[in-house]
Amino acid sequence: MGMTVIEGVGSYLPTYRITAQEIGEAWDGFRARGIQEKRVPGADEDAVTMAVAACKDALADASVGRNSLTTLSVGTTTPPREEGDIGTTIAEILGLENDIEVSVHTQSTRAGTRALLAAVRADGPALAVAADCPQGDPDDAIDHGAGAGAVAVVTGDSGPTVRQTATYTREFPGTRFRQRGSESVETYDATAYEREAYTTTINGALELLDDVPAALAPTAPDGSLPGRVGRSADVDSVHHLASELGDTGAASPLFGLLAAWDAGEETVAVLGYGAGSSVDAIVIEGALDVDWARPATDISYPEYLRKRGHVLSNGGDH
Amino acid sequence: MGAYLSVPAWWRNLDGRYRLVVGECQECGGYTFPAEGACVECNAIDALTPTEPEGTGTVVAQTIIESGAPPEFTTLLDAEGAIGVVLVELDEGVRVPGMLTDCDPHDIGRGDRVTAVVRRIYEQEGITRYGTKFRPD
Ligand SMILES: [Zn+2]
Repeated sequence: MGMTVIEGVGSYLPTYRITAQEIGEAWDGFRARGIQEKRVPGADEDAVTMAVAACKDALADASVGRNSLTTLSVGTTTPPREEGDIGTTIAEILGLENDIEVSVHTQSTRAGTRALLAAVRADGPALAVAADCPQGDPDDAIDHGAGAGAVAVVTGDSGPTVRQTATYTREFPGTRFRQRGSESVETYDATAYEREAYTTTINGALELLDDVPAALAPTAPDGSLPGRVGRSADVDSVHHLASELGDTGAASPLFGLLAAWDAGEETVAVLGYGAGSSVDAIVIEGALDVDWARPATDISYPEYLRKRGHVLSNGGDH
Repeated sequence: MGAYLSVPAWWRNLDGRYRLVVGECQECGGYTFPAEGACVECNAIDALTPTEPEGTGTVVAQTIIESGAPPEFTTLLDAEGAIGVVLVELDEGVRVPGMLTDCDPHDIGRGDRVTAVVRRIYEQEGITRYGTKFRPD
């Protein structure tokens, strides 16, 4: 593999924000672990619009112009259409050239690192974006923790280098899935089994690397699971933004990379975990300046339900 | 907002809908939006060169819709309570219409600064129409 260089990075967070306390008061307790607050997409937002915003931010951060991009790769578990190429829509909105190679990766929260790997393997400057806005049933831990956001990366000539990549796959059925036609992510709901799937596959990927870096940026479905990986892999520095962003799905390991860079880490293993289960490990050496802070407007739980299109026939205090 | 627009008619001006591409007149330097037909300033024919503005501008007129929206906007109205429709003078000088987003439209008025963002405008016949809205700075 040639040395791919990350030249620019960008991100996007929706304006609306809700606290764990506000959700917990509506449901007699907040059911996701290690999350203080999260962002909520407006009714006119989806993975496409969030991806576009992050891509614009990343292109503004890179010297590579949009007209010299050879590849656009998109990762999301929440494409707004089941069939119909959202990558094409994103490319058109961004005004990319018509000969660009476009791919969309989905079906698992590993989609974000799949998109990044497609950019790493591209022959020329590439744009990768992970954008996600998962939902669950309003009364469960998945929905309580479900956040939203997007991270985009531009590859080019100078910047941090991708040193090594590896992928580890082993089936753990039912750890996280969404049935055909459904908007709600589900789990089999066996905590020990899910923890085993997460740590086993991440450790499997780490063992494929020449060296385990001093900092990890794993997919963070909540603020608790990533710590288990740190303990089992004996790595002290585990970075994620679940506490302030909730579960950002396919974008979460890339938000973890931003957090690691912000903390001054020099070499980071980005670990894209997808239930089912598979892990992509992408070792990146060097860092870029990052700033993911965005203005926020706090909303109430009834406003949250309206923005998500949830209609409650029973349950909740509202 | 309002009048039915077929997908092929919508598609013909994607550059304008997605990136506010305007026509810069080679005769008088004025801008025309959408970038088609004669120059609105001097009526010159075949004189428009497509130009992509920065997407920043100032609100010059506003209407708030709280009921009676066209059917394709009722889902948005149910979620947001009110829809702001504005005329924005872009910093390049051209005026373009659009909807507000990420705000209570009652808080926005003439003279406020806004930036263009791409959002879902509406869904019709199962097809999502994406386009430019304006977010307060
Ligand atoms: Zn003219």
